[in-house]
Amino acid sequence: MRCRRVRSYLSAYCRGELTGRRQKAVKEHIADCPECRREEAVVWELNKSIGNLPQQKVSDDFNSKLLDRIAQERFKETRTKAYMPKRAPIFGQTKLIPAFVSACLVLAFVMFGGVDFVNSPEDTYMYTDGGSMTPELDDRYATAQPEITYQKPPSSLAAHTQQAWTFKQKLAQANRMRNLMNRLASQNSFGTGYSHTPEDQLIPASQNFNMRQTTGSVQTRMVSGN
Amino acid sequence: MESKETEKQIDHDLIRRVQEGDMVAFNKIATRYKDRLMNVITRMISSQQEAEDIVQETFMRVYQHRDSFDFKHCFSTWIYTIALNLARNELRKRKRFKFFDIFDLQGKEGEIAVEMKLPSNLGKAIENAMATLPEKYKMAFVLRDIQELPYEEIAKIMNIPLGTVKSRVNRARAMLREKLKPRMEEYNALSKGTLLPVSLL
Repeated sequence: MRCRRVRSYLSAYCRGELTGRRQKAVKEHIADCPECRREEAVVWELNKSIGNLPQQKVSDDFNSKLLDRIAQERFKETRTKAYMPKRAPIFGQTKLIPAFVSACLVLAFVMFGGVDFVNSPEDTYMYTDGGSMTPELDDRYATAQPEITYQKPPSSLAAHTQQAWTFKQKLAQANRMRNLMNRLASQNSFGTGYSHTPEDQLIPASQNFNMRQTTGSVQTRMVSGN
Repeated sequence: MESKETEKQIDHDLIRRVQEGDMVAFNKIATRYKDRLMNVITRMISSQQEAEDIVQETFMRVYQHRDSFDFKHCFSTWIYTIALNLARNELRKRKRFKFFDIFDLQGKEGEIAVEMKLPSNLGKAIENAMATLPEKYKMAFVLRDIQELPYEEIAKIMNIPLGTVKSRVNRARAMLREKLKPRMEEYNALSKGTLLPVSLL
């Protein structure tokens, strides 16, 4: 066995942890090798010194301090189990708090928020009847008819359509007036050289005259546009 | 010295009585284990006061979790495991704040150097050299060479394989020997003046 390997076994060898063939090999090597013998002496001395290290001890009042602490612990356990009054069930059950808060929010939404169950159109007749405010005690609700009928407000599309129709009527009226004016102008040579309609304001009289020659086709186009 | 099996039986009887609420039995357990734990924990964390606090906390944990003790195992293994876990936590806490405490390390190294030069007080030099070992080697070394627990029990306490325990103990011994070699050779030459194999003396 080589020195390096022997030295790795020296600690175990000096503590009697090696057995059999390995122990014998180390022993034989040490007998022949002065360097390893010196190392063995160091290990023996070190083991002896470690064995002589003073034992660390706790302070004298360790047990009393410990038992005091245990007594406090026991007192805490006992007080928790037996003497402490139980908490109120709602606030004691922390798991129920989110459910409680949710229920409150739903209730608040119903009472002050979007859905108006109390004053819904179906129930209106109960209160407009002039009777009592306790409908369940009044049997007239079974035969009474609602005085206030719910009228659906016009939608924005319908309003737009109506507006469009009004505009077209006005446009048609304006066209009729222009046609009439053109006809009068062509028959009596009446006018100032410029048309009075807003569309023809910048058209010179000569061009307006040309338009007058084709009045029939313009009128046809406008009628078909209507 | 009681045999291992007898000690185990005594521990089990005591912890059973503690489970039934017997504080005298708990006091006996504390008396049996307080110094053993103190011996190990002081070497682990190198502070007498903090070690005592950890030992006290260990007994508190034993009391709090007395009902969860499994009688299939040794009580000593259980209590050592609790104590060493607490010591580990303490060391971890220290490591976290080590960055802010550079003077502590300098002081320790200086102390070791001074101890090495002094002719006497070999024990103190060994203690200081032991304190510089890495945590995992130190724990295995203390349990084996200071507390003289069997390898199997150390493996259970540290929750590592038996072979790993043996290699860690051997490595710790080698590291310690390297640190203390000059001092030990000097001491050996002065006291013995011989190079005969010590085993043959």
